[in-house]
Parts: sequence; structure tokens; C-alpha cells
Amino acid sequence: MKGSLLKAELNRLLSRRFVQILAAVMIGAFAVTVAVTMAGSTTPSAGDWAAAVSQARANNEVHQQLYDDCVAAHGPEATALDRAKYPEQCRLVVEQPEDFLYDTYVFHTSIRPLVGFLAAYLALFGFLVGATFIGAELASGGTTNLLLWRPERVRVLGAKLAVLLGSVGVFSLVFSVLYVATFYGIAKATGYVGGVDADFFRQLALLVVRGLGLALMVTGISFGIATVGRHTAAALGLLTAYAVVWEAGGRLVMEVLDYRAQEPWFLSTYVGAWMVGRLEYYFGYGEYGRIEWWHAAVVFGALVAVVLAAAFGTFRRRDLA
Amino acid sequence: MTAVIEIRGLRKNFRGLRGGGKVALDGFDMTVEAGQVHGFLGPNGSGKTTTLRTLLGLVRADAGQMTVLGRPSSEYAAVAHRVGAIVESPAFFGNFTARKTLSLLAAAGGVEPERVRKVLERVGLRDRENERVKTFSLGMKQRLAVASALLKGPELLILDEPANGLDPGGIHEMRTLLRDLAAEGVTVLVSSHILSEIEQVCDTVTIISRGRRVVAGPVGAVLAAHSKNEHLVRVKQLDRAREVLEGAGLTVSAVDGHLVVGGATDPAVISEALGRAEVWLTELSPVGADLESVFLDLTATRPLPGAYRQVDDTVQVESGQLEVVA
Repeated sequence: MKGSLLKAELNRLLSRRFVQILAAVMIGAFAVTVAVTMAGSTTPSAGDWAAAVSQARANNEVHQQLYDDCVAAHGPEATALDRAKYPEQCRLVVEQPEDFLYDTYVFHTSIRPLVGFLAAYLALFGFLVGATFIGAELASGGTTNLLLWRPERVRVLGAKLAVLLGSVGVFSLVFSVLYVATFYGIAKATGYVGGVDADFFRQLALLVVRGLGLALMVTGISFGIATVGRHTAAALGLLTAYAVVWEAGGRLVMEVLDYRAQEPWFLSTYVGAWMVGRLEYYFGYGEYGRIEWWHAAVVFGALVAVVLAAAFGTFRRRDLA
Repeated sequence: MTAVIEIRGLRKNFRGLRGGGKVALDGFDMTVEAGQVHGFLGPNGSGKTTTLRTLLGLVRADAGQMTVLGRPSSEYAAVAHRVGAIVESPAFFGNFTARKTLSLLAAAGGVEPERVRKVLERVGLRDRENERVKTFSLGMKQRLAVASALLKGPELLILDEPANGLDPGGIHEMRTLLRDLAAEGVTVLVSSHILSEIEQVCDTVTIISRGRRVVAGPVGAVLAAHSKNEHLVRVKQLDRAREVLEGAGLTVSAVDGHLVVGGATDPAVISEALGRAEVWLTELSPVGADLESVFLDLTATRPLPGAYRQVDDTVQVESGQLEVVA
């Protein structure tokens, strides 16, 4: 008499009022964002373009001069004073006319930060759903009831995790595709799409996939912490404690101690590296550190593995009330 | 008869974070034969719920052997679909309806969805099936718990205080339900503090105290074994009757206008002694032990006048003193 545990758990997840409310809030927030963007965007006129091109040209001249001065300051004939003026690496900033279309939503320049924003929202969504899906069941005794029917602890917890990750993954993917398509549509209708080609969309797709990956990793970690702590609040509390004590407090202490190579010690650094592919940080005296996306993958992968191993280990062995 | 549940030497110590711990089970034994309604009694904190949880795989025992439906406890998953259970207070997710709660369990366990409505009807919740569990009273949650236990159509039913929170009608229904299930061949292991119900419904009983078995056997035999061979005597001449009976070597105490006479294995001894002295009886009946008095005596939980008995002040059965009534 083996029923479908996966189907039952999917039904259970989708029936949870908190999950339904969270999804509705995500969709509602998206609708508001779309409405605000559409309302604030107008198709650029010829005059708008002319002004934008002129401003871009003027700014680029300044940037070129600064770049030339920086290169010279890093050259063999530069003085110490020159070097002190330009301590960091020289980068040539090139601005496009579309950057100066102030009343126009420009897809090409806006979509990447918007997708980054979406990734953060999806990660938060996954975190909350992951924590409550198992935490509320453990706290209410619902898991105990389920184990009276299916006394296979690893299989039950595994089914819950699989359903959770699958559902968050599918929701995130569908939402992301709709999100990007909608903003593309807004730019087409009332804004400016900008210079987009196959390579741009490939990069964008990679960014979306990284956002999905981040959401899934965070979901898994949240699920694991709530399992170990036997309550939704365990995950929420640990996140709050980490943010306050380590991300904020740790940075402060390192500043006080003048320890400059801070970035590798914080998970937020790896989130940034994961999303953009590479993150460079300056730690003084012309020295730069670099964290690649695969460093972040290793760190998050290890964290997920440790947390889930602890979750399955404790769940398998603990006495259930 | 085949044993549906066999427990031998079960031990469990709940360890604290700072060492030490609470010994919940200390070498507990129990056997439940097929087709019986078996009562499982014990004072608060004696290890009843721990025993049931260990049997159902919710708690890991430190030592001992258990078999359920012929399989060792390590293979409980193979027989779980034949066992229905309620353990302690019913725990359900408050925002789900009664129907949803049972449907999810049925789906996970491979039970036909049609059984959900049938069991809800059987426990009296048919008209409440679409209401959320958090709106239910304790008794209604208890009925839902019984429904979840019946959903599988089990061969073995384990019920931990199933009458908890039920109104008198519900208690009566529970008694009827247990009798009906037994008639259908279901083996029932029921733990309860309503000893009058246990005495009426159960075929056999096990009493536990401080993690060990105190007594086990058929209810009638347990009661008979603890009977004190006393008889209630009503006569018009109380003092004369007392004098006669004490003269015959019997122990006599006066209680509420009648006499309780001990030491006479045959009531004819009493009637003969009184008849010779021309003291005429209006009533002569045996004073039988009831399960409550047996329980209170065996577990040393009878209230003491002027004292507050603590939950740990129960009898500790020493090894070798276990009493089994065949």
C-alpha cells in the first residue's frame, strides 16, 4: 500500500496558506513594479536623443581624459603624488546615449540590476518557504503523524526536500521568464530596448540561472536549519543573527582592527561573486583580491552539504515528540 | 494465540544536555495477543507513551526487543500500513480542513480517497469535514485522530488515551467502537486513565509503573487475584452480628451502616454463624475488587489524607517480583 509521497507532499506544500500568500505577494509586488515602470516611461523623441547623445559625448571625453591621466600615473615616469591621486586600477568608463534618456525605461541597461533584484526576492521567497514547510510541520506534530504512516524518516524528509526544491525551482523559473519578458515588452511599448543581441541574451540567461541557483541554495539551507532547530523560527533567527552579528558586527570589528582583506570572510561577498561572475576587492597598497563565481559555488555547495547532512542526520536519529 | 505485539526488556533513558537523564523504561515487558482489546495502564510518567512511541518508531530504544505483527521493530516500515495509531494529544496542522488532513495522509499511504469520508462519518465529523482543524475543540481533534488511525483499515490499533476530551456521548461511542473493532478481528492496544472503561472493554491488561511491568493478564484474573475475600453484610442488629462474627474468628469493620467481613472464603460461613445466633441477614454479597482500586494499590498511587502525592512516588517493581496472572 505504498502511496505517492511526492504527490502528497506537493499537495501539502501548495495547500499551505503561508506559501500561497507569499506567492501572491511576489506577484503583487511584480504587478506594482510593472505598473510604476510603465507609468514612468515614455518613448524618447528626437530631441531626447539629441540631448542624450550630446551628454554622452561630453561625459566620455571627461572619462577618456581621466583614464589617460590614470594610465600616466601608473607609468614608469609618474611621481608618488601622481600615483597617490590614482591608487586604484585604471578603467575606461564608456557611457551610452541611452544612459541619458531619463524619462525612458531602457531594457538594455536596466534589466541586469532588475534580474539581480529578482534573484534577491526569489532567494527570500525560497528561504521563507523552505523554513516554514518543514518548521511548521515539525512544530505542529504533522511530521509525527506522517511518520506513523510512512516510518521511513530519510525518505520522508527527502521527499519534502525534493518537492520543495522542485516547486521553488519551477516557480522561480516561470516567474523569471515572465519577469524578463514583461520588462522587454514594456521597453518595446513605452521605452527603449537598446542594443541587445544573442550574446546579451545569453549573458542575461546566465544571470537568471545564477539567480535560480542562489534561490535553490538558500532554500536548501533554510530547510536544513529549520529541520535541525525543529521550528521555522530557527532559520529566521539564525539568518538575523548572522546578518547582525557577522555581516555587520564582523565587518565593524575588522575595520577597527584595520584588517583589509575582509571580503572572503562574508557570505554576501560570495553572493555577489556568484551573481556577477567575479568580484574584485581592494585591500590596500594597490592590492586586489578576486573571488570567482566558482569559489562561490564551492562555498555555497559546502554550506548546503553540511547543513543538509546535519538535518538528515539529526532527523534520522532524534526522538520525536 | 499469536502475539501481535511482543516487548522484552525495553529500556529508554532520556538523556539531558548536562548529563544524567530520566529513566522512562527500565526493562519493560508486554505481550498483546491477536484479536484482543488490551488495556495499558500506568500512572503519569510511568512510561506508557514512551512505550507506544518506541513501538511506533518515533523513539529509539536503548535496549530490548520488540516485534509488531511478527516483524522486529527495525522492520516496522514493512507493517506500518497495517497499524493505526494515536499517540498522546492529536497534532494536526491547524489551517488544513479535516478532510484535507486525512486526504494528505491517505495519499501518502496509498489509501483510497473514499475511505476519508467513511472514517469521518464513523467518528461523527462528517458535517465538519470542510472546517479547519484549528477551529475544532479538543474532543473533535481527538475524533479526527481516531479517524486518522482508522483510515488504513488496520489490523492493529494503538490508541493512547482515545477518550481524552470526549463528552460522555463520545466516550460511549468510543467504547462501542472498540467493541465493534474487536468483533471485526482488529487487535486493539488502548491506554487510558478512565479505568471503568478499560474494565468494561478490555480482555487483558498490563499495568506499568516507573518503567516496569507491575502486573499483566486477563482483566478478570487480575481482579480476582487482588480480591480480599471480603463480604458485605447488612443486618438489623449490627452490634450483635459483629460480636458473633468476631467470635467466629472473622475480621469485621463497620462501614456506612453495614459490615465488611473478611477472612471467609465461603459466604456460607457467615450466614451459618449468624443463623445459629438468630441474627437475620438482609444482604450478603462479595466485595469485588474493581480495576481502579487494584491499580491504585499496585502502583501505590492511592491518595493519602493530608498529603500531596508526587508523580514520582509510585511503586518501583524490583526484578524478580513481576507478577503475571495467566
